[in-house]
Amino acid sequence: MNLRQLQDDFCSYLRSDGAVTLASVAPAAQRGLGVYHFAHRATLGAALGDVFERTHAWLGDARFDHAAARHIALHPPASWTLADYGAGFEETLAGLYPDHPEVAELAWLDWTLRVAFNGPDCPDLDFASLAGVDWDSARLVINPTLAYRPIVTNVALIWQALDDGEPDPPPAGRLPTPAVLTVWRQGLMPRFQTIEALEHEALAVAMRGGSLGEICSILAKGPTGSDAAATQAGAMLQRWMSEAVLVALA
Amino acid sequence: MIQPPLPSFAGFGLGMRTEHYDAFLSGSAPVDFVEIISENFMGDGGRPLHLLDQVRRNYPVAMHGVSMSIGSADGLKADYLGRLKRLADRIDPLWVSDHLCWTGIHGFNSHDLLPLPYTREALDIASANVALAQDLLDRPLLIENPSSYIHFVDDAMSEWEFLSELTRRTGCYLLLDINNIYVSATNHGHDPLAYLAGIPLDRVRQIHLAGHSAGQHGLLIDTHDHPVPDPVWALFAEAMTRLGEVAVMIERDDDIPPLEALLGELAMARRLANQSESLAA
Repeated sequence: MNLRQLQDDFCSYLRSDGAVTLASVAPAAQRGLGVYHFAHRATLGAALGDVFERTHAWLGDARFDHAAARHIALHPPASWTLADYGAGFEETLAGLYPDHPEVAELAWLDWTLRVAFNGPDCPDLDFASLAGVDWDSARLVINPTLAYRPIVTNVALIWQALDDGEPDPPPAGRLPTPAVLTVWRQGLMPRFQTIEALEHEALAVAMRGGSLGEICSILAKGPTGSDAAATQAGAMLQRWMSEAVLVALA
Repeated sequence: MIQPPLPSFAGFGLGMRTEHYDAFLSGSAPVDFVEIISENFMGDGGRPLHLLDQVRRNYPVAMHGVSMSIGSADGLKADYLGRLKRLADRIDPLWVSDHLCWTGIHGFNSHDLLPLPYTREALDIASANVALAQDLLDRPLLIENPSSYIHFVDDAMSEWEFLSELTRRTGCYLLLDINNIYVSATNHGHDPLAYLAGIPLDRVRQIHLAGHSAGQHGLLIDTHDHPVPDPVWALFAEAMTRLGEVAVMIERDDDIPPLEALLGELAMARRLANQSESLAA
């Protein structure tokens, strides 16, 4: 048997229920195959547990382990790094808990915070470079670690309570109106924030390379109207700059 | 391409584990070098690299990888090697090491150190992969002997013969894991001293010392979650009577104890190394 065939068979064995033997392995050594079969699953399960710590705390051991086993069965790891294995776990949980949207939202928050933790660095905003900027046409450069997701539950409160180790996190509840959760890294520290629909729209425009002028047009659609849009845009921009959401102007 | 000789480094070190970051960041840990798991620092940015830069200012750093997969029949991954090279260029390590193993094939990565059949074909493939990696990284590799729980019908040579030929063909060096020698020898019923006698000792640049656990079916499992046991200390002492200057490390990956406990094991390693040196003189 050539090496490629042997390795194909071995990988199939790892993905199987482990009840088979491999012709390439010496008969007396078949007992050792189970070590690899177990280690493969244990490693992936531990990787999920490491990243999805608050999701795990929310679900408890039995539900989390069941979800992890489902994910491992359906998602063979492909990346060079184990750190990537949590991608898609949110969808696995959404499938398992369709009536509990906070579970997938928690998983998204756990995952996206970890991605931001290891995400690309970017220099601090150079405030001196802002002098003389034509704000109407300037393109906003958003932090490369920033990600967002629509949410319908009080996931931010739940996550924070779990992270603080509170014994009684708040029960899951629907938000009065859908909102958007943002995650990014400020300096070395990942952080998250719930924002309203209008800011989300502005952020989406900025992430597509939109100008402040375009953002003002969006804000003018809001309840404050066009007169207050420029003031509102200025305040929002100031906050984005101070929180490293906005990292440069182009 | 033949790589230039890799100087030896005599010292006693520990792995950089999160539980002990403060001591490595402050430089207060009394060790001669620190070993990192390369993949933990091959992300795009953020705190890991920031911390590593600080630790590097305090200690020489050895890079130890788990995902190169030098035994894969479908070759090495360019993205992985590119990231590894970027990290090596950034921190100027003592050396870069990985394992005699494969981790997956056809896009599947088991994230485990899987055993190779010790055949001529596997030797050809591993040699080609090591040579390519060394060329791309522009530095020689250290290859670590694995712990194993199976062997293959087609095995045509021993593990030490395979490693010897790999070093001869590629100019690579060896990271000798004493615990792995003991675990595999116990599991497969061979003599650990024959292993020591069979490898090219002049190619060894680093030693790993670790603990193991008793698994099912009488197998020993390389768990790295216990102190170094007596039989591994004894084999280490024997190895040190035969080796020249090497870097010695306690490798603990699970149930991490306080730093003082690992420093105690490191002190034991120093004592045994000194005794072995006296005996060999």
